[in-house]
Amino acid sequence: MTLRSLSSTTKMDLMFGFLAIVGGIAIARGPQPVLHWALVTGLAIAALTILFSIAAALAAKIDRRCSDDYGFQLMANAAVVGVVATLFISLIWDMDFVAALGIAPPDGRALNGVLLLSWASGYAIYRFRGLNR
Amino acid sequence: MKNRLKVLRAERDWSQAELGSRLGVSRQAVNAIETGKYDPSLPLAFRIARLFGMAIEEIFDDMDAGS
Repeated sequence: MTLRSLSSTTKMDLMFGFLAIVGGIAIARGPQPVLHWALVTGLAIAALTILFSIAAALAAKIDRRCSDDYGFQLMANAAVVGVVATLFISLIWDMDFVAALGIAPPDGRALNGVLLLSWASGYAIYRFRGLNR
Repeated sequence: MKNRLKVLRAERDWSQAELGSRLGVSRQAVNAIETGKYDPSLPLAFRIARLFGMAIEEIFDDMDAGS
């Protein structure tokens, strides 16, 4: 069985499974120097993240009922662009060569800004270009 | 995917907003379908077909079907 032979939803299941593991590890690598506290903090933040994800999924369901297919497709596709762009930007921004340029490492507020801007940019791209191209 | 939505709408002298309200979607959604920027979902395609009293394939032409 090769990766290419898997269905697209299975690939997405694998991708999001991988993202969940990476996210959990990134959260667990908190500022706590003691392993025990790092684990507790990590688990607490991971639980909160999952709770907020459930709340966001429910909110999206309400939104899907209120908006038509086209509006929801635009928003959902733009959200994918936003998430991927934010991941790439945060990774690049954290690299040594960026710090060597005198640019401060990203903080939470800056990354929130990046997420919002890239979501909005994704929306604008799909709005002008269309969802079929 | 090509479609005859604009022609069918013009034949009935409906605006995009009017068609949108009959279908329960926004004017922008109607515009996006007419200009080929967006393919409607199956439930919406059925609603369009019912509204015009036609079969889906009489309104929408899947250009990839022949290849």
